[in-house]
Amino acid sequence: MAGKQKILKGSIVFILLLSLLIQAGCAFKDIDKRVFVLGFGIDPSEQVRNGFRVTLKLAKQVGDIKQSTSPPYLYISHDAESVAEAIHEMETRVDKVLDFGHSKIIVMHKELLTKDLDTFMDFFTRRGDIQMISYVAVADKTAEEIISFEPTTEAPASIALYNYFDNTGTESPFVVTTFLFEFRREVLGEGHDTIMPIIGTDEENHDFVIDKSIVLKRGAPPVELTPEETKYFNSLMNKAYGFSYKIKEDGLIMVLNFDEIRMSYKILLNDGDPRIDMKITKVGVVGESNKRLNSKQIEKYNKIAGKEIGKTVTDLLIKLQENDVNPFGFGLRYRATRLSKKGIMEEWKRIYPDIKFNVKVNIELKSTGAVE
Amino acid sequence: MNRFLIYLILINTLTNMVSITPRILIAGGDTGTILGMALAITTGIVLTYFLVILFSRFPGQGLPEILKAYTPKWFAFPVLLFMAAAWYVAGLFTLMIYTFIILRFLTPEMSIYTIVLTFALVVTYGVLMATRNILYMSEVIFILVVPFIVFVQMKGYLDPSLNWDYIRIALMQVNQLPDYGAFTSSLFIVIGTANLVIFNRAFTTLKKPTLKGMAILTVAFMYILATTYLLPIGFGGFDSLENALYPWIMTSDSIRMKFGIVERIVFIFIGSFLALGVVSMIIHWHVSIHLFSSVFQFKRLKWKSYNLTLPLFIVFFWIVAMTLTKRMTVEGLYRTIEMYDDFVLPAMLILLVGSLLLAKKGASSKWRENKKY
Repeated sequence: MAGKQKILKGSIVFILLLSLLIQAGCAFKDIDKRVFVLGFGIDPSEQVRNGFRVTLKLAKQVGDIKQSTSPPYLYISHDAESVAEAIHEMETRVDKVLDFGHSKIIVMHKELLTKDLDTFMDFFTRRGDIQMISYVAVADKTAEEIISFEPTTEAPASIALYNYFDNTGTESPFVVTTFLFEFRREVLGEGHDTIMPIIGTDEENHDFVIDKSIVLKRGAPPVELTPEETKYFNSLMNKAYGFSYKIKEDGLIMVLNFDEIRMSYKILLNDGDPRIDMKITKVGVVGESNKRLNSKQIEKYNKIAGKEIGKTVTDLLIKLQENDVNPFGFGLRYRATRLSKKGIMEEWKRIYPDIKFNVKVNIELKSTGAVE
Repeated sequence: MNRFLIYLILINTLTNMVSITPRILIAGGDTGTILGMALAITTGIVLTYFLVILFSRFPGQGLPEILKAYTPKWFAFPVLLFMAAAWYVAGLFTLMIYTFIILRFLTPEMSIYTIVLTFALVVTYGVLMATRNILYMSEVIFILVVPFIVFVQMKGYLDPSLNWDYIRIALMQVNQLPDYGAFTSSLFIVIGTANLVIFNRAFTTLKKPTLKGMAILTVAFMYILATTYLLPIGFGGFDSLENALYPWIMTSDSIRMKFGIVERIVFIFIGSFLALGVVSMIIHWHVSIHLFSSVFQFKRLKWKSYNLTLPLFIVFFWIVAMTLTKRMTVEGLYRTIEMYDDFVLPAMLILLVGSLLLAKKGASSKWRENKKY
């Protein structure tokens, strides 16, 4: 009896093991049958009315990067009435499956921002396999040029464009990073407008230049920020590192480097005119000076810098207010600090154009650097 | 309080994080989800307390034994049948939602039958285990998986892209009257104790609820419910999340592990929840199959000395699961779960508490009768 059971158990195990054989017949496609999409570029189409020109950056598989003879990337573009159609038609031009799971950037043309965003951004959030942590950016020229541009600093088998945004490579206060999920929540919601980086190339066409940004509000013309404004915004909102500030006084030229930035604000409605009190603290050191410095005078430098920075920030806030955009999310904060009721956002829309800003900057220089 | 009981309750709580529940909560966002959730936690804690006390009067006995011993037959059978169906459907919901998630996010090209069958095979093995062994298994999986889940959540809470203003907006809806849908679906999350209807067989010395145990449960309920509802809102926005079908998958996809092994955390997340989902399915179907077999026991259906009632039910479970999963749409599933939470769940809970009270009364009168003679 025991022997019989042993045989029975053995054959059950055998049958179960046999079922492993059909596992290979599952739907999984091997890696050599896939081509990985690394980035999307979307432009308005010149051939199809109201259509889009979609450009894909694809990675070719090579056995060994040292032995490869051709560049590892290729680019294909296609015009169609919608993004999904363009991509499906591109599938007929590639012999492998397009795999979107590794794509990390979506670049769009500036003109598209004034169009209905739903018509082309819907594709990216509707598909499950496109990462919500993809970067969203705007092209200075056409998206096709930007996505297919290969800068001189790009190493083989690496993608320069990712390094700007993922904070593992360069970290600059001029570069704003916007993820797809932020884009979605801010475009579909109210009270916080999306800010996106503008990607351009330098005059000699050697490298990328990413120092401007654009604020997008649904149903309104987008507002472009200069590099300087982008830097101020980014340092306040995202606590970006490496903010530097130049002081000029009586022949003394000095550059301050800040590495810690704190910002908080309050919306006050009942205390006189409606106003926003913003408190900024920047902690840093002196980075460069054309004269020998006196450590005792640090207080003086603090004051000069604080006043100037405060003025620039106020100017930026007023520029945003005049254009009726709000990348700082004041509207959101207004709603978040009041009990819910109907029409609360309409209330805010009435308040925002007339609100006053009161910016207080507190600079704390820790030292004059390694020397006096 | 027995630690296995706490696993039993918390696995039920955690599994529902990625299911339809967050979507129901978010749909009720403008109309009092916050108060609904608070109410559900209170109700859940009170019910847990009473259920544990009631079941501790019948150590080592499941609901079928209790009802058959102390209540009339015409009452016991319909109640047991209703509960068996309710538990089967609860497990089926988990199976369906996880099948849809796998189909959408992991293997879009795979056949739906293959996925259901894979689940069914693993779950069948689990369902046929002894009640006590299922508890051991749930402990192992709980301990293996929960650290990953907590890690992902902590990563989310500490992410600089998480906008707390959205969460504050959600909290500011506290002045709305509680939403019934949000209340019942949160109640489903916190009412894992009901699994005692069969699992009480394994607790031969179920102690009374202790203060420590209840405190742990309260904190866990509050944390899990708040995370289920608020973290997706912090990442996805308050108004813009309404049309998301899987808010939690989207949220875990929004969390970025800059220097991790994989940058996209969503796969770790789905993997952990699949493990929990399988355990939850096993628990539900184990309860269901034993309730069914307490009502129908085919004595003649035998192969050698082995009774074939349970395998028969398993095959029945499979067939129903396959056909329904193939036919169900995501929207249909959402509506069905909403209906289940709104009507079946309260009815089930009332029946459960009522029948236990009845049994208690029956037990004490029987005891007195015995004493008389």
